[in-house]
Amino acid sequence: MKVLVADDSGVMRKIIIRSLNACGVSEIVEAADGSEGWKAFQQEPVDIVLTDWNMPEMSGLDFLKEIRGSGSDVPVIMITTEAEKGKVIEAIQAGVTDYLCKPFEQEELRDKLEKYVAV
Amino acid sequence: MNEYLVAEVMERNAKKIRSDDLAFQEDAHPTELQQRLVQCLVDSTKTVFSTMCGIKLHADSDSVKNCHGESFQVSGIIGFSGAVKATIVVSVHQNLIFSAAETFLGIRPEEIDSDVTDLVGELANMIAGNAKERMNLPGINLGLPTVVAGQGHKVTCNSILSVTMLPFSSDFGSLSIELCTT
Repeated sequence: MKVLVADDSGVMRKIIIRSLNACGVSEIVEAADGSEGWKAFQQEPVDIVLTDWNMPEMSGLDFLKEIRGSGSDVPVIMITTEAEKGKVIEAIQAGVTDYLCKPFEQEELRDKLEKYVAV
Repeated sequence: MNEYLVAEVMERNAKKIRSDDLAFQEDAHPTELQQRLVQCLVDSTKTVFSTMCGIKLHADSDSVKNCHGESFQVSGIIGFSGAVKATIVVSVHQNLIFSAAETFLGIRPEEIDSDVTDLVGELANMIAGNAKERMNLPGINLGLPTVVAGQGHKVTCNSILSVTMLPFSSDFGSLSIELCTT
């Protein structure tokens, strides 16, 4: 099980990776924005993508659109401060699989991850 | 359209924000908008720290006034644009941000390093994002956060701006939010 984590905040990536480790996932690819994430995604196959929305260079939404545009149906979970219903719908229309709003309790994140992480 | 996912996300958010917190008139007077923003920032700051770090912050409403704050070690800055034009400066006492980092990362930092500055930026982002949701007003945009660090640093706003200070205290140290508006 390989997971790609895209977030411009290094500490948020660490928080997410800590939860992934707790779910038994140790094979993790990190990206500091959507552009890095898209490059990494094209270079090596991953089983799940976790991405922030607001990032420099390429947003998480555009990253998601690139993934879906490539024909991939890999699960993509958006982890973001964007909590408006319109934004959630926009992400769903772009093909997001699941959505978690910040701030979140660590249990909330683990619950989400456990739905998709089958080690 | 995955309506189940929309409903689930909205339900989770509703648990974090009381429905009566969301009532707001789009044609509100600027003073009302300012008061509303202050209340949303107070509520969002408490929510972010309690949800993400398990740290209870106390806001002293009597201390909401125009003034300059005490000296802090690290500050996160983020701007609102569109329907709300404002900048917030989130300044955190070293012990408080170290305690928050310990909760997140499992290791207590020994100095203000890149993890700590990153965390302050992320907390500022979450506070602004949660306040934006509470404002329940269309057309509010958020910028990306920036962070400044250093003992005794000062963040100043253009003198034509109004600066409202929102002080918070906790068992781990203090935090202040400076709201700069036109």
